[in-house]
Amino acid sequence: MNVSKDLIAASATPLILAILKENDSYGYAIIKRVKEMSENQLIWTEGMLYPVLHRMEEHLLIESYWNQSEAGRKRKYYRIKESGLTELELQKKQWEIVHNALARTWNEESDS
Amino acid sequence: MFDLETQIHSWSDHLRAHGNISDADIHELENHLRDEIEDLVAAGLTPDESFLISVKRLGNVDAISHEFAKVNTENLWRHLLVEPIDSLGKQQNRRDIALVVIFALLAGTLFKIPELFGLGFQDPAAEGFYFKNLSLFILPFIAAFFLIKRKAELKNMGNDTRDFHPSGADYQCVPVIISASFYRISYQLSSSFVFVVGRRSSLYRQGVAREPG
Repeated sequence: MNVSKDLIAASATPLILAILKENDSYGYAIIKRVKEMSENQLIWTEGMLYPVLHRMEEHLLIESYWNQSEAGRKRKYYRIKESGLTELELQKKQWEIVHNALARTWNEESDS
Repeated sequence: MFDLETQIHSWSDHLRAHGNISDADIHELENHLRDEIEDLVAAGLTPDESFLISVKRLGNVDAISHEFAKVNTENLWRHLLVEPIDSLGKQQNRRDIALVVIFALLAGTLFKIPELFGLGFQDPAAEGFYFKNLSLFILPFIAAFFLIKRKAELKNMGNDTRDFHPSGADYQCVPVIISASFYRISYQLSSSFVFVVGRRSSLYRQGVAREPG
């Protein structure tokens, strides 16, 4: 099933923050991780991910640094910042509100 | 023989030439491409197959640079919801409108020049003069406008030399039209000059003839 563009865009920031909270990562690995965690339901495109990453960096939620990869290539890694962790908590609460509201209305539907 | 390195380099060169993407961003994307290729090769594909698939997955260069350009704009949401607008076309439109306004003002100025020679617009002596020479006042500016517009279009085309333009023949006839209109203008200029001078001297002569009588 295709998740709508709006929903993908809205969930991008919390997902990236959550992934970077686990450990520092880079673009390609983030896309793979999202795909894995969503059981192939969320396929992000590069054209969407990198702008979001750069935007989050601009907003000081994350920071980037260049590091040598295992293959000896220079790679741009992203690390979560303190304000990113706060933002993640905030987003979690917001998503919980939405999720709970949806779950309740859907339960009422099935009950009646 | 397929050379992966050369292919990757030409891909990133293409990106560099066609999008407003910084070097660091290109480096990041190139790394992404290499990761993707490595994974595909590990899965058993040949390097050239992997390269093709990876490039395809990364999306076309225009789309990528468009996405990157969004980062600098205020609202990412708006761009995700609304179809992108053709900013280049818009810019060209604005320039065209400015040109039209300037040329209209110039044409208006030119229209006033005969008055300096005593041929006012409402002067009964100048009756028919403005109408006869209408093309002199307007045509040069229309020609100049098209000249500038076409030149700009040709320049834009030049940026994309790889794309064969089948409509090239259209552009070849433009100089013909322009030179034709300039012949007409020069003809008009000289004939209207003669007309003005002749009219003045005849008026003068009439005045002289009438005075004694």
